[in-house]
Amino acid sequence: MNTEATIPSFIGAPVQRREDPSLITGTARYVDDLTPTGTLHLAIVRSPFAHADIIDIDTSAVDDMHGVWAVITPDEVADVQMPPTPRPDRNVPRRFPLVQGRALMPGDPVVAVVAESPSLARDAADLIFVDYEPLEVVGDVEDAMEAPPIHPDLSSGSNVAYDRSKGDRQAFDALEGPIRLNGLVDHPRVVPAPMENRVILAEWKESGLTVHMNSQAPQLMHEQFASDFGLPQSEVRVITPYVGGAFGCKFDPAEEEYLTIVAARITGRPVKWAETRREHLLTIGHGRAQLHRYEVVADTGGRIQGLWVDSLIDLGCRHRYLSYMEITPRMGTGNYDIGVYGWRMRGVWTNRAPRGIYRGAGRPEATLTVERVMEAVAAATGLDPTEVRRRNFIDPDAFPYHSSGGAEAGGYKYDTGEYEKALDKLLEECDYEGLRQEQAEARDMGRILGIGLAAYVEVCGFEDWGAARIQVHADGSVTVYVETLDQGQGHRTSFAQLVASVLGLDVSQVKVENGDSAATPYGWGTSGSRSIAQGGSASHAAAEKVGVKAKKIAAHLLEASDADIVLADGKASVTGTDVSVTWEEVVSAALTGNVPEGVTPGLDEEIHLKSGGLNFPFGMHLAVVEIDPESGSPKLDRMWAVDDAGNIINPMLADGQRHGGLAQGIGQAMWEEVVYDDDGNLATSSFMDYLIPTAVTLPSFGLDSTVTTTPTNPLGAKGIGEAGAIGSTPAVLNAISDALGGAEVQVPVKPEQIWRALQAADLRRGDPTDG
Amino acid sequence: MYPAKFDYLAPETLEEALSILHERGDEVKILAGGQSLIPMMKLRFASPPTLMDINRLPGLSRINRTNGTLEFDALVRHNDVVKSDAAKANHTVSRAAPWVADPIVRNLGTVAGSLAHHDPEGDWASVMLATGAELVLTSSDSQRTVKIDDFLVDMFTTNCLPNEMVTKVRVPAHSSRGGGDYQKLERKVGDYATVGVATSLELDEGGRVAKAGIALTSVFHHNLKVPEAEAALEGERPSDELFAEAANIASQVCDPASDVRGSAEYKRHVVDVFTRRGLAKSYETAKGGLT
Repeated sequence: MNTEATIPSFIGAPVQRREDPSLITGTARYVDDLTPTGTLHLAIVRSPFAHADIIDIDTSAVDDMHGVWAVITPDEVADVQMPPTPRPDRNVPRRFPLVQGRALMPGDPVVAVVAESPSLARDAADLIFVDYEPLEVVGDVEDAMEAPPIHPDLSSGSNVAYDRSKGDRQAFDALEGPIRLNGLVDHPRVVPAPMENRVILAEWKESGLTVHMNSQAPQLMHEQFASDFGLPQSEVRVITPYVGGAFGCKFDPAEEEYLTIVAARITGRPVKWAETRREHLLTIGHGRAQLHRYEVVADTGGRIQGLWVDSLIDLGCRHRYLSYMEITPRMGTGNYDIGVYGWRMRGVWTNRAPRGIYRGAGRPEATLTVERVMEAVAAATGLDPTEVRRRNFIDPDAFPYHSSGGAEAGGYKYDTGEYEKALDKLLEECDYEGLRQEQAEARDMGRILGIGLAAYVEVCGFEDWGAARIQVHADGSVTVYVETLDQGQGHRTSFAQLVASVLGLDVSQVKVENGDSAATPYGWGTSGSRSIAQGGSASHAAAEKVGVKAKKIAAHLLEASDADIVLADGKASVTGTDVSVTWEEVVSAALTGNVPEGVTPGLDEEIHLKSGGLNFPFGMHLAVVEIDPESGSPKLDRMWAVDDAGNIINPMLADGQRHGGLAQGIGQAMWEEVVYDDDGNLATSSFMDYLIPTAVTLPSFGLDSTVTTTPTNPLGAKGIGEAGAIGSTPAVLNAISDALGGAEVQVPVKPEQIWRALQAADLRRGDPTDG
Repeated sequence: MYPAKFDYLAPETLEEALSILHERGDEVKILAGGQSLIPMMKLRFASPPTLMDINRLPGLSRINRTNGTLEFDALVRHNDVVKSDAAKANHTVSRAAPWVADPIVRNLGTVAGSLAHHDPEGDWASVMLATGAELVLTSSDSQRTVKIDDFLVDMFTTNCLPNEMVTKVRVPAHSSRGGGDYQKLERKVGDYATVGVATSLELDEGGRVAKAGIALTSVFHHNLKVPEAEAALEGERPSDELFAEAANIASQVCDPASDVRGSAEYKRHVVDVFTRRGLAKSYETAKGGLT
C-alpha cells in the first residue's frame, strides 16, 4: 500500500445528493405525511373583505355537527401571546391568532374549526356565518400615508409606522455634479410560493408541547412557543422533518401556527393545519413591497458622487416576526464606491398581507435600484453600461470596505471582493462585443434585442455563530446534528462532505440530522444564506475536534505521536509508514475506555462557533431579451451569471441554488406580481393569475464563477442561496430597458408596458458601445 | 385539496356512462382530463354532487381522418393532437395544439372536455369556430350532431343537455389550397391567453378566398367568431391590405376586459396584430396548393 498518505477531500467535489433517492421515491417524510392516531384538522374562516368590522359571528350551524370538535372564536384567543412583542408607543401593534373585532386584510383569520377530517373542517367552516361591516380600504402605499390610520390605537396617528433616515443631506446638496438625475424604481409584492405550503401538527402530551412544523428555524420556534405558552423550554419540542422549500416564508410563525397549538390544547388531540395554495397567496408574508425614489449626482466621466434613496415600504396590515428591517438601505450603494450616500425609509400600513421575508430579503431591492441608477448614469454620460460600473466599483485593495455611507449611515463592512475580475469573466463568457454587434445587426433587420447587465453584492451569515454536534456511533458511522435547516438545498450531502473530509471517511458514513429541538444544538436555523458559513463551519470545526481526539487515541494504539497521525481512507495512519489502525478500531477504543492518560472516553463533540462577521458574496449577471416589435411581448433569450461565493463545498449544489435563484429573480422581472383590485381583493389568489416561472419558460443558463474567499469563517465560504434572485432581476429589467432605448420600465415588465414604451420611444439608439 | 363531498362513479362502458347521465342528469359532472374541473372543485367554485370519471371508457382515444374530416374521440388529450400526423390535416388544429396550456396539462386535458367546459379563455373553442367544427352529442336514447356555433352558448354554458355527453369532435380537413394558424399571446408558458386568434383560409382555384374563418380567445365573454371579418375576406384576392382590413374589423368587434394580463386597449391592439399575422401565415400555407 502507498505509504505516502494522501488525504482525499470531498470539499469542492460535486457529490451527488444523498437525499434524492428518498425524495424521488416518496419515502422522505414531510409534516403532512404525519397523522398520529386521533389527529384532528383545522380549517379557518377568513375575511372576504380587506377592511371590515366584525359585527356578529354565528356558529350555531356547526355547534352540534357530527365530527366537529371545536369552534374557536376570537374571544378564546384574546390572551394568546404572539411575536412580535407589541409596542403601541413604537407603532408595533399586537397580533392575535384571530382578528379582534376588525379584519385588516383579505384572508384575515376570523374563526377556526377543528374537525375529524380536513374536508369536514372545511365544510363546517363554510357554514359559519360572519356579519361584516366593510370599511374604506387603504391600498396604495402612497395614498395610505394620507388615509385614516388602520391602527387608530397606535401612537403615530397615521399609517406611517416609522420614518427613519441617515446620511448628510447638506453634503449631498453641495455636490457639484454636473449630472443630476432622479428616478423611480418599483418593487411590487411577490409571493414566496415554495412547492410545499406551510404545515403544522401540534400535540399536547403529559410531557408538554410537541410541534411538527416545516420551519426554517425550529430552535427559534422552540424558544418562541415556550415563551408564548408559558412552558419551560425543556417541555417543548419542535421537530422539522423534510421541508419542500421555504425561501424565507417559513422562518417565522404566523397566526395559523398559534391557532393550531391552541386547538390542540382545547381538544386534547393532535391537531394539524395544512395551508392551501390560496391561503398561501392570500396571507403569507409577501416579499419586496417597496417603492424607491432616487437622486444621483455624477461627473461627466460617469463617476458617481452621491446617491440618495427615499423608500416607501408597504408593510401590509401588521408586522410578522420582525418589526423592522434595514438591509435595503444598508446595502444601498451595492458594488460601488460612492462618496455621499443617504436614505429615508418610511414603513406604511395598508390593508394587505404583512410583508415578510423572501429570498434576498432586502438585497434584491437595494440591487435593483442601484443597478437602475447605473443605467441612468450610463445613458446620461453616453458611456457603455460596463464602463460606468468599472469606474465606480470598489477597488479590490479597499477591502474591508465600509459601504453605504460607512458605519455612520449604517453601512456594512464588506469583507472581500474583486468585482472587475468577475465582470471581465462575464463579458468574455458571453462575448459582450459580439452581442452588441448582433444587437445592431438585428436592429437593421427590424428585430429588437436588449442586453442587460447587473452587478450585485449581498450580505450573508447573520447571527455570526453556528452550532453543530457530532455523535460517533460504535460501528464508526457518524451523525452530525446541526442547527441550520435543510429545505432542499442539499445540506445532508454538503455537510456530510465537510465532516467526512476531516475524519477521512466516506461521505456515506456521515449522516446529517437537523430540525429537532431535542437533538440539535441551539441556533438560528437557515436564513439569509447563513448555512454553509455558520452551520457548515461549525460542523467542520466539530469534526476537527473529533479528529484531534481520534488522533490521540490512534497514537495511543499505535504507540506513535499524535502529530504524526493522518486520518484518511477510513484509517488512522502514521504518516510516512504503512502502520495504521482502522477508524472502527479507534472508535471502539474510544468507547471502551482504551484511551491515553488525560483523554476522556468517547468521541462526541459539540461546538458553538463564533465567526468573524458577515460575508459578502457578489457577482455579475447578463440577460439578452428579444422583443416582438408589434405586440411588445418579451422573450428572455439568453442568461449568464458569474457568481463569487468564495470556496464552494459542492459545486453541483451551488449551481442548483443559482438555477433556482435565477428563475425566481427572472420571475420577478417578467411575471410575478401580487395584485390587489380597487376594492382591496387579491386578484392573484391562484397560480392561474399569479405566474411563477417554470423550467419550460426559461433558457439554459451560462454559469461561471470566480473565487474570492472570506476570512470570516474557516471554510472561506460565502452564501450562495440568494445570489441568483438578486442579480437576475435588474439584469433582465436592464435588458428590456436597453431594448427600448433606455426607457423607464418597472418590474414585472408585462407585454403591454413594453408596447406602450415602444409607442413612445424613438428607437434611435445606434450602437451603444460607440459611447 | 378539500372539495365538497361528491359521489364518484367510474363506469367501464359508454352505455353505462350514458345510463348514469340518464338517471342523474344535471347533478353529474363528467371528469375527463380534469384540468379545469378539479381546480374549480378545489376552490369550491364547482361542487357537483356526482363526479363521473370517463377515463376507463374503452375506445374513446382515437384521432381518425376520413373523407376530408378529422375526428377526435372524447378522450383525445391535447398532447395526442400535438403528436398526431392525422391532425395535420387541419392546419389551425395542428398549430394550435402546442399552444394549449403547458406540457403537464396537455398530457391530461382533453379537446372535448375543453369545449364542453367553454371557458372563454380556452383555445380550442376558437379553433373549432374558425374551422367550422361540429360535435357529436350522445345520450342513452339518441345521438345528434351540433355545429360548434350552436354548441357554444355563453361563458361556461353549452347546449349539451344534462343527459348527453360529447363523444366526438369533427373538424373539416383543409384542402390542398387551405391553411390555418393559431396566434397566442401568453405571458409565460401555461398562462391563459392574453389574446388568441384562430384563422383558417380556403382558396379557390383562382387564388381568391373561398372560405375564411376567424375566431378570438379571451377578448369577449365567450370565444368569438368574427363573421364580419370573414365576409370581408371571402371572394377577395388575398393581400396584406385585405388581411389588415379583416384584422381591423376583428379588433373592433371584440370587447376585451382590462385585467392583470393587460388593458382592453392593448388586447384590441394585439387582436389586430395577431389576426393579420394569422391570416398571413394561413395564406402562406394555402397558396402552396395553388398551381
